[in-house]
Amino acid sequence: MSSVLDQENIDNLCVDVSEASGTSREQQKWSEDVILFQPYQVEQITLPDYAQCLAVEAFLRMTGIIFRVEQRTNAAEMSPSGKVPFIQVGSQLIAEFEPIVKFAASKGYCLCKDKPEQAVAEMWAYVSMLDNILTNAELYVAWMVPDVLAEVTKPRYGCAYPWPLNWILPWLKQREVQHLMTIKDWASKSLGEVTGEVRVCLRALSEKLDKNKFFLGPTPSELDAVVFGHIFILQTSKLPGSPFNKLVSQFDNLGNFCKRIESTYFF
Amino acid sequence: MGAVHAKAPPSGTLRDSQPTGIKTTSTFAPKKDDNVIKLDIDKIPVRVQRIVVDGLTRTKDDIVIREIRPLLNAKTFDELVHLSYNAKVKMERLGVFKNVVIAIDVSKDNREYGYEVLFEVQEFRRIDGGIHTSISNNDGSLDFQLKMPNILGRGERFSLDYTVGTKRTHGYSAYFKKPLNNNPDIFFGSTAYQFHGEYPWSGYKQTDRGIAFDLTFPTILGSHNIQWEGVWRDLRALTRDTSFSVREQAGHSLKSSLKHTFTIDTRDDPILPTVGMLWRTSQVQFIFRKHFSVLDIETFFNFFYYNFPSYLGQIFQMSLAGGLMRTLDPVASVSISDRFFLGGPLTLRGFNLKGCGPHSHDNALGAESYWLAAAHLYSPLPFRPGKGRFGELFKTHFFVNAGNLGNLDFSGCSKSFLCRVCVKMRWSYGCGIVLCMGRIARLELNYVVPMRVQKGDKANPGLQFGIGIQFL
Amino acid sequence: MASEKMKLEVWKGDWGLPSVDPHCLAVLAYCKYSGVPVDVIKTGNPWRSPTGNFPVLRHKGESYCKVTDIFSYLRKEHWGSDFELSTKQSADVIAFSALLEEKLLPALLHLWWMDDKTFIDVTRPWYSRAIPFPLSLFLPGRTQKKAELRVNLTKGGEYISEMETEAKVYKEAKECLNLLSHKLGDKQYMFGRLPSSLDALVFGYLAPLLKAPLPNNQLHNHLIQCDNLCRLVNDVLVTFFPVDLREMEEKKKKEQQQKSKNVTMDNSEFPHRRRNMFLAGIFALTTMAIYAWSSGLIQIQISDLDPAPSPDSRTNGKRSQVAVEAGGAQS
Repeated sequence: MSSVLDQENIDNLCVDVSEASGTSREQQKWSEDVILFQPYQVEQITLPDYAQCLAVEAFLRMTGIIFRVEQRTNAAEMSPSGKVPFIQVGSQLIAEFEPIVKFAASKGYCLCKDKPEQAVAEMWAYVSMLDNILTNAELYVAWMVPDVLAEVTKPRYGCAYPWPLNWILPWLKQREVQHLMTIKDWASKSLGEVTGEVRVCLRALSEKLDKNKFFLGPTPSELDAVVFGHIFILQTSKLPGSPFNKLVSQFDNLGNFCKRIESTYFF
Repeated sequence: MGAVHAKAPPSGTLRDSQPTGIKTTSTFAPKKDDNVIKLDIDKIPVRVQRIVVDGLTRTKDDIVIREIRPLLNAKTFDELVHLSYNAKVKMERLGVFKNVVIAIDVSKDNREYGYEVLFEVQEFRRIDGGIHTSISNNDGSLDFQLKMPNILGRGERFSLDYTVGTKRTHGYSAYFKKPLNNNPDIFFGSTAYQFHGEYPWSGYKQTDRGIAFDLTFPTILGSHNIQWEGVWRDLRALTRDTSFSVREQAGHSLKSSLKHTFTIDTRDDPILPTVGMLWRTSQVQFIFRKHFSVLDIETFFNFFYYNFPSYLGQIFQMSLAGGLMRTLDPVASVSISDRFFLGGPLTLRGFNLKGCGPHSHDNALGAESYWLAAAHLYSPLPFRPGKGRFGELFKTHFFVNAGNLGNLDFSGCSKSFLCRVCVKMRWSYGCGIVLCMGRIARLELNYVVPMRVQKGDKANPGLQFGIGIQFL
Repeated sequence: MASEKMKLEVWKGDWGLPSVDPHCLAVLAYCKYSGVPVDVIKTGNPWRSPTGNFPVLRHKGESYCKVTDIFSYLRKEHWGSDFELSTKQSADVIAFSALLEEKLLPALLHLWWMDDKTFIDVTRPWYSRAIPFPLSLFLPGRTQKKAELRVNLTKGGEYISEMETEAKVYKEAKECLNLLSHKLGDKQYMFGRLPSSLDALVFGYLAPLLKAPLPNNQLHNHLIQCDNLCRLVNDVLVTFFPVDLREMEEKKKKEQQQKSKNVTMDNSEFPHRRRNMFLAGIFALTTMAIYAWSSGLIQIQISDLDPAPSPDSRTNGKRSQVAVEAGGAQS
């Protein structure tokens, strides 16, 4: 079989190459502080952002990187890509899950080093699926369901600003998200259809996890971090109408998986 | 009495204020000396019978009547001429009329000493507009303006502007101005604007959206302006290389401020004055809500110029500026867009634009206090080419600039305070050519030698070019 | 199992493919795999389509436009081999379909609609020919705008330049191709011997990439290196769409013959072109002269010239001549 998965391309998925010196794969010491910036968790952060921040936090804990969390009201505006979370390492800023994973891998912190290539390929496919379905579903529920928008999302998004910014800014963000949802063909879906898609996604995850401890064998991988981020907020978020809490309870192994990750890495 | 032939007396005062726009008809052309009658116009009694104002369309009657009513009390011809001229000037300054022509004639019913005054006025068009260029410090811009003068009939003015600048700045604004109490020096103005500007020396770009209300009025000493402004500011990092200290301040904030400015300006020219002084001082109180904290900041800054000419045609100028900012909440900090900056081709020459003071990775951070002093000696161009016309716009100047920028610590004793302020100053000297552009802007080409530079400053020795309206 | 036959409207085909649109190809492939009795209508007129685009599946008065909707409907009607997949494989289908949409689709949209050379040379002419007038005036432009929005909003943004967005989009597409290649491995289809909906999707996205004559095709070069993916696409074409292949072969032969004729025709075209240019130039000059004369830019004066001296004309001394003088713009 000849495929294009030569050395360079595997490294793009999980880079384990030391940077300048050209010596073989040695883990480099990470001498600078790692700081994770995110919006205020209790008062300000909205559903989709919270999933992303949790995923990154879980990943960092799983790799054993020592970091601290800084909460800022303007984390999204500070970020180099406009999205949260982002990490600061020395003078570098890296935002969003995948770039952070690649950066960590370039410094030698990779969770799927010893796993078979096929499994790793499938893992990234599942991560895309989560991005495609769950992130869009969270954006939909947070910004396009009127009850949730009025009672939860808008007050949280605008809480850091004085009047009149506390209604102008959420309104602008709502228009932006609606535009994005229209482009992605999600705006025309009803809440029932969205819940259906989430159920399909959760079933796929549940089947992939089956009775294992983690998704890719005995040790955690990036997929575990992302799944934890999304499932945790689906389980614990208190939204009017509770669209998602019941869904997760239909898949026991996912609920137990979540509790396990939380107790292992977060306490 | 027949037509009066008015001739200006040989003494000074009336000639200096020679009115324009006064029509005097003369049907009598004196041919021989013995027919010439010498009249002393301040001894001629008058009784004003009628005043007619012709050409009113939308201007309201009451302001016109207020201005011309004093004419009815004129006792002598001289007084009548002066009063009518003053009325004309005031109405033009109020922005009510474009042009006023006065005609004084004897009254038609031939009463003794009876006179009639006719004001032929030309009002502004309803909508006017234009495209002009304007210059601000080291930046030029193109301004598209649509204005409606005298929109409600009492000298109110409404204008809409769209500005595009060279440094990727652009903005819109709407401005409304109304004179109060028929006095063109007292007016109320309100503005609503949106402005986007980039500040590459500090690595950020900012969009401001705000409204402002202000009141201007004169007193014996000078003119006061009180302004309230509310702005929504959106600050973002300009490039990926912006330093983290600036990036930390990105985001939305709301600022509300009350500002009082006092100005005395006795200069004869705003750009290259030969005599006179300007003193402008302002105090601003900010009420700032950024995210969760509330800040109160006071700022105070002061410009002072004094010019006096010497007998050789040289002009000596001395100027001083300073500013101080204090937060009443010790924990909170001032946003970078409110801080003071120092350095540039028109202020502290010899340094890059905003090149003095604390920097972080090439981005100027500014500070909360500064002082700046300059002394200039202007002299006409050597050999005086183009004397009297073009050459008068150019001047050579020698100058010395000194200044300091930093954050003051008020807890220490006054001696160490003074030491810090003076010891760590920067100064430079040099010479160059100044060009005055149409009483609006000033161009300078200088050769500067920075003499003392502090750590972190960006000096720019040698030739430096600057253009702007605010300079020291 | 339905008594009424299903109707499927798709974009026309070219270059040996039954359709040029990836989504239409996916649906067509799935229908062929499953043996669905469907009436395929190849058209270029999206006027009657509910979304303005294809594919559209109509059955029993309902119409389905999105690929996922069509697949779900067909599965519900028990067509297709997806129900033979294990639960884990079904999960993989969902995951990889999402992967394709997330990573490969933006690159395809960019390649077809945002790359200037491709858009002007291939996409716009093809769609202008296929879509009837007057829709052909604005539909390609509208589709282009939608594609731009999709790519820029999801991959681009305020903080990233266009070049970087492009690089990012193509890099992700190449990674996706690698992942697919890896998943396929040595097998005939993604999950063994039987094709599934995932194979249909993969075929739909990759076939135009492989077969269409797109300039600037860095993805094409990358795809050629993935032997197993090319093999899959070709196999599907040969097995399920032999008619279209044959049509393409014949078309190619015709083009070859015409080319040899065209060489001689080209030479004879040249004098035509010259003549047309010459005529156009004369026409332009004449119109400009007439305009200039009528608007007063050029004035023609004719005055009488009387060569023999006569009593009347001596004092005036007029000469008849035609004087042309250029006057300034007369307001």
